[in-house]
Parts: sequence; C-alpha cells; structure tokens
Amino acid sequence: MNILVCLKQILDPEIPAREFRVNPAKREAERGNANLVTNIFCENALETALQFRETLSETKITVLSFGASTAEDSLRKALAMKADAAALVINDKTSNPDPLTVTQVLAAAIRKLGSFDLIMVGREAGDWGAGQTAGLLAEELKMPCVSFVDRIEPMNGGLRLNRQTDSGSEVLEAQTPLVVSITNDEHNVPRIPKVRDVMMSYRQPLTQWTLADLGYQLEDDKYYQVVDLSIPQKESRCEFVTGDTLDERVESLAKRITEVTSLL
Amino acid sequence: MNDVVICLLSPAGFDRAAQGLAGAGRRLAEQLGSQLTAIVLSQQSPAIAQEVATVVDKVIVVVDGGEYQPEPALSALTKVCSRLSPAAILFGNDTYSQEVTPRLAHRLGGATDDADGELRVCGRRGQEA
Repeated sequence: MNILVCLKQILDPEIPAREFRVNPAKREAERGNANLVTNIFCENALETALQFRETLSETKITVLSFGASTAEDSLRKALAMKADAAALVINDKTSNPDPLTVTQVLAAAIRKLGSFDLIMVGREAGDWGAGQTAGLLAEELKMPCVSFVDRIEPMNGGLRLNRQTDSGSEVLEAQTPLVVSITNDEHNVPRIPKVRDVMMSYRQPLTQWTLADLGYQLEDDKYYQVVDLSIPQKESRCEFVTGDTLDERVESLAKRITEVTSLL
Repeated sequence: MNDVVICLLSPAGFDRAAQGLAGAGRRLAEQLGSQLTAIVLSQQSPAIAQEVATVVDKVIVVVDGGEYQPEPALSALTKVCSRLSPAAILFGNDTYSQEVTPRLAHRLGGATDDADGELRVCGRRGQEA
C-alpha cells in the first residue's frame, strides 16, 4: 500500500489571543512571536497512516507539503516520526494561496511523485480552517473521497474506515485509490519522535521542487479574494438589575433577558 | 435573476441548523432580488420538504430513499444545480454537507468557503457554492 500524507505548516494556533495580530494591508496573520507548527489534523493523518503501516507491513508512507521553505521542519518531524519519504513544493509566490491553487499544486506534485493507493489530509487547517483540500484534491485526481475518518484498517484488499458523523460514527468499506480527510480521535494522537530520530531525520533525503519544476503557474484572483481581514471586536457590558426584594430583582432580570433576546 | 439555493442533506431534519440556513438564504436572496430554492436530499426528504416549503419559494426533492452516499448525492446535486445555474448555493455545517461542498463547487466551476457570519452581496462575478 502506497500512502501519501499532506502536511501543512501553520502559525501555532495555541498562542495567547492577546498576542494574535493581523496585517490588514497584507490581509494575513502576523507571525510575531508565534512558532511555526504542523497543523494538528495533518499530524493526526500521519499518525493514522503510521498505525495503518503497523497492521500492513508492506506500506510506504510519503509526506508532502506545499508552503514556505520553513515547511521543511514539518517534513523533517514527519521523517522523525518514521515516514519513509518527504517532498516539499516551495511556495515563494504568495503567502496565502486559495484552496483550489493549493490542491492543484498538491495534485501536480502527487502525479510527479508516482501512484498512491491512499491520500490522507487533515480535515482542516488551524489557520484558515477552510476544510476544502480533501474534496478538491479528490476532484483534481478523479478519486472518491471519504471525510472525517479517524481510523483505517486493511480489509480484503480494500479498507475499513471509521468515520465521525453528527450523530455518532459510521463504519465504511472502500476500495483504493481513495482520498480521505482525517479528524482527531483518542486513537490517533500524534506520537512524539525520539530525539535521536529527530537528529537522524536531518540526514535523510528530502525532495524539493519549485512551482516551475511542476510546470505550475500561479494565477492571481483565480478562485476568491480575501478583501478584508480583522479580529472580531468583543463588546461586553455589565448591568445591575434593581429591585427592593429578591423577587423584584428576579422579575427585573427576567424582563431584561426577554428584552435582550428579542433583539437577537 | 438567478436563484439562491440551499441544500439540505442532514438526516436531522429541518432542525435549528437548517432553519438558520434557510434564514441566511432568504436574506441573501432578498439582497440579490432573487428567489430562494431548497434542494432536499435526505432519507427524511418528504417530511423536510413539507417544513422547508413554508419558508422558501421552491422546493426540489431528490427522491432516493437510501442512506447518504457521497458519489450519488454529488452527482444528483451537480445535475440539479447545473440546470438551476444559481447565484449562490448554501450548505449547512453538517458532516455530509462539508463533504460534498468543495467537490460540488469544483464540478460547477465555482468557489467555496466556510462562512459562519454574515453573507453580503458585494458584486457579481459568478457562482459560489
């Protein structure tokens, strides 16, 4: 089984809210003191792939990222977690490509890397949270797609997938090739690589391509544009209800709640 | 003026999320001066169609009867939406809708995004799903 896992490097979403800034002119988040980390759902996807390989030994896992040259760190960490191969498409053109551009670049890289039975992506990224990559990638590669999967097992040449739904979970059987989006679960918490493996990962080969290597030309304003970006302003007010007795104050509070909720 | 379309896929019926979707669709349709159409594709389609008919201008029920399957659902929605050529297609935030939305947008040549706030008309360029 040949598995490809897509990884995205993002600004650490765990930074304190007071330190989060956006650049209105560039319409993007400012890095500030935030670390760059691998998107957690992408790490869940890698962990799911690694667990799958533990049940089906003849499995090769390749990790792929499209991003700034710093995304190499995410790929090195994946190699330290025991992915077999890594490839990076360096994005030196735009800091926030739209979802269709991302998937077209990923699809071009996947075609260049070879043939894959299973392509795994995180359900959404912790920066923009668009959650489009799996579906668009499936369309670009003409493959079926299953979303919100948290566990994958081999089964009679195919796959058995556990998928989270609004009302519980579904167990599905599917044939490859297949694109899946992975969500988090207690079973796919990413493993922490050993220090030695982290050091060794920097000696492993890592394929690097530019957009030109893939024959891909970025087009401006192809899909949609971010025309404004701002942090929502929270407005809070404190009111004291009045009344001589507790009953009057409760009555007054109930009346005020009715007034406020009727405005919503 | 092309319609605004809402798609109801969730087996939860015409719940609060679906009502919110209908409300967002209605506001957008009013801004565009167009009609609001609902496409219902669910195991509970007839019951949902009756309820949603009270708040939209037109209801299209895709009769299947089986459980949700992404490929047939996508195929049906692509056919119906291609015929309607809507100004915008709105989906809820349920699992099935999130799965279908980007793929439908790709097939219709439109764009898709995740919106949890206000939808406003700023100009007209093409379809959005």
